[in-house]
Amino acid sequence: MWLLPITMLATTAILAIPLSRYLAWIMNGEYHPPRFLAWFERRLNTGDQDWKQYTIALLVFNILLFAYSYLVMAVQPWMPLNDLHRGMLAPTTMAHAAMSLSTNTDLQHWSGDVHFSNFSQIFVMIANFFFSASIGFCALAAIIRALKFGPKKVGCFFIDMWRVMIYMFLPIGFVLSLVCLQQGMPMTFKSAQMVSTVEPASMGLDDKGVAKQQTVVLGPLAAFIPMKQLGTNGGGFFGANSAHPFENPTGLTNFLESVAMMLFPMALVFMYGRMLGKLKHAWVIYSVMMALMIGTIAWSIYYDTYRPNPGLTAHPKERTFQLESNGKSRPITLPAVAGLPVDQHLGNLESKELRFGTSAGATFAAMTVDVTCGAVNCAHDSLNPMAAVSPMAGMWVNCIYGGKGVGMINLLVFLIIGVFIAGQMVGRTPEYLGKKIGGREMKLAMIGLLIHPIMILWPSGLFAATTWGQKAEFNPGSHGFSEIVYEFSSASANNGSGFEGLGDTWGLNDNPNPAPTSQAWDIATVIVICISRFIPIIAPIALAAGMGAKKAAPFGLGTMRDDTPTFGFLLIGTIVIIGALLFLPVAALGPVAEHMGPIPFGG
Amino acid sequence: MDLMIWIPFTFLLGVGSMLLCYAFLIACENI
Repeated sequence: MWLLPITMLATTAILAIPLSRYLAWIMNGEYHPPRFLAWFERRLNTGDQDWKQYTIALLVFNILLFAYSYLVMAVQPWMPLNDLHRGMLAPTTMAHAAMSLSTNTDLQHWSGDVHFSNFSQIFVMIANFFFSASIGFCALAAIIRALKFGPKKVGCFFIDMWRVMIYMFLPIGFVLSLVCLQQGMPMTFKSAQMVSTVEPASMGLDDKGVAKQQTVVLGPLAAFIPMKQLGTNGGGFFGANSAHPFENPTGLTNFLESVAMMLFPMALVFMYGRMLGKLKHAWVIYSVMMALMIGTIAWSIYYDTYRPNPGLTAHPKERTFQLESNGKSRPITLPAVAGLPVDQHLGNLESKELRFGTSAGATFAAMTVDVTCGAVNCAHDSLNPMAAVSPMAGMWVNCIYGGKGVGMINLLVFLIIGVFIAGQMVGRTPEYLGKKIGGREMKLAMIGLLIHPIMILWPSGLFAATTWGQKAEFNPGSHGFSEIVYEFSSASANNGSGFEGLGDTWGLNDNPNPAPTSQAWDIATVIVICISRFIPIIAPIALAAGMGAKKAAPFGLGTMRDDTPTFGFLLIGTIVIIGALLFLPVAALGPVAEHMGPIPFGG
Repeated sequence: MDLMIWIPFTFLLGVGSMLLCYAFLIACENI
């Protein structure tokens, strides 16, 4: 049970250290490109940009990426590789998909196997996997250079993007795809295989009374999945994501997918230390993140794999409750339930892929939200209520390794605030890397910090109080509230997983029965995803630029050291206390209330 | 959905949201 997460974490931690050396070597420009690439790189390298130019380049690139993704989805019906004749997606679905994919969120109000053709899967999803992953990486590189060299020399956005894609993602993704191919992942441009089912009429009968065949959707999975995980994208080819046997055929692919999604986030922490020349400080940050990650994984496994599914356990008395729904009050009577004769010693097995092991679902759930990947190998909606706190907390804190670059950026914001608080407590001017933290830095840090909870709590409250959310909930009461909060948490954290009992899909434009409030969900998540992606990137870049322009004060006896366990505990305390203060109320109303009961389970 | 209304609206919604972030970048200079 515990061997699986321990080996995953240990393998990733061991691989992250040499990878970080390679990443720093590439991003510092110390490598010598091959001749056929050097010609192209010389033309791409427009010289050092200042922080504003770099950020504008990043934003403009993202706007173009959004427009490109939207356009390619809009022309889907007329493009090749569309054997299943997928029509045009609904405009709100396209806007949501384009924003979600171009910001590395990959929150899906669609299912790739139902709504996308292979052309869109390749030219929208795989393309965005590379580009969106590289953008966060470049943002961190800009911050590091701003801190080290000042605001005027943060590098060239275009050459950084090139380096990340060509020298990092492509070679590692290629090796991973070969392993996936060997393990049985499909790799074809063919859209589907028609198969006759073992039970002849299980797909129904056609007009002539002949048994229908099953349509098994196929595609270039072995090229798709490695970048989905390596780039912490998380958007699945299939709606079932990594629970689908084509996306995750064996226990080995599950192991490798988990390692792949944690690899770059872990390596980037060390890359930060190497590029700044403060590796010991990076170790402290890494240890803090590892402690929090172990905590979320352990919590998730304990509450989901060691506890039974409360829906299958005995409720000996009949209970009647008044349920408020859509402005009306109606009684619900839960009969006495003897408890199903299901052996629950393996924990909550609902919606789990047992071929990966009993703890694999809970482990993957904690890991995927910590690194803001968003891929899932079990249904998060089926997690036990207290187990669901783990993925939610991972998204709320959003700095336990986090996505490539952005997790480390978010931790820097917590670090600045923690150092400021510590400075206030001891009566010294707070400083980090020898640079004083002043009013401007604190304002930018607070903006970077607060935009995330605002983008979660305000829309969650709005949707929970209106029919936009109430008509989309799949379960009543506190679980429905958890579904709403989880969706906005996932959007804001640029995670992409979901409690997908939520009815938020319109899909194809000619869908005769779209979810009633799917347009509201699409529009709201476009706004939340965009603002929560870029404000927490822009504010820290501006903060780092401001700090980089200051003169470094010499290290003295009174300087707070940032490479000690004390600093680590300060950092953990800041993250946990601020995270708890911001989100404890919503946790109490959602998963904790569901755990306590009484409707529909719990108690 | 009426494509003639919703396609331009949703496209501009996405682009507009990112331009809002650009406006924040400009505001950062004055913070």
